[in-house]
Amino acid sequence: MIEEDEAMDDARPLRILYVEDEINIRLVGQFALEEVGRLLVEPCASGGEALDKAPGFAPDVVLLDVMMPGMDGVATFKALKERPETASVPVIFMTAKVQPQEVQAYRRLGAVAVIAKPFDPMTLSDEVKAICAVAAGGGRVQVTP
Amino acid sequence: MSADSRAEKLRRIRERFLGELGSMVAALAEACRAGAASDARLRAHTLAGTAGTFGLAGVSAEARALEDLLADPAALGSPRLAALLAGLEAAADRARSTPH
Repeated sequence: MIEEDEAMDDARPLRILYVEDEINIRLVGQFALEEVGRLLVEPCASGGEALDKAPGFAPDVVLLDVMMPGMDGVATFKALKERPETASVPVIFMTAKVQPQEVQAYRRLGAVAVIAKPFDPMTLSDEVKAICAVAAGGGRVQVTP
Repeated sequence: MSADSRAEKLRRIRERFLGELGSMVAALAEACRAGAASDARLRAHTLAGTAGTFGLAGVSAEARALEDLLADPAALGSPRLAALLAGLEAAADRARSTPH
């Protein structure tokens, strides 16, 4: 059965809604997820764009920058969780602020994990896949470089 | 995609950022001069994170120090702020002039 599961993974890559306001980081992140990790990515430059795109894209997971102008990551997270079509989608925060109390606050909010920035483009997709595997089992993890 | 083409693509994105670095630093300095602490702090945060992603440790460290300082709006106009801005500009100049 493991072989069948792996075959399914190959047939259907994870769908990532990737929200990052800074275009250069977004380009690197998209490169890391799509071309290194072979994941399916819908990039968004703002929380508002993420809310618009999420229902149609139907992501398996949302990768969400915390500090953004306008609607920040926490506000976007809350809005996603208030909408029936995205309420159950796991959210991973990405932030440079990974002091224990900050990570605890994000986890209390309901994030499945926190990935520290700056990230390594060569390993980001593996981190996301590992987090999703744990989240699928109902767990939470914290990933830091 | 081969390792070489991946490296080339990353290099192009990094060059793109280096091309924008001067204007990002200038916009941050302008926000400080205009007294817009919260805007300046967000710009410093973005600059620190982006520079860190591209391995520009000097730029990232200077921008992070500015972000921390700007948590207190009273820092606007202080000698410390001016020194950090000068340090950031110098680090950005070094990053742009260093062959990669």
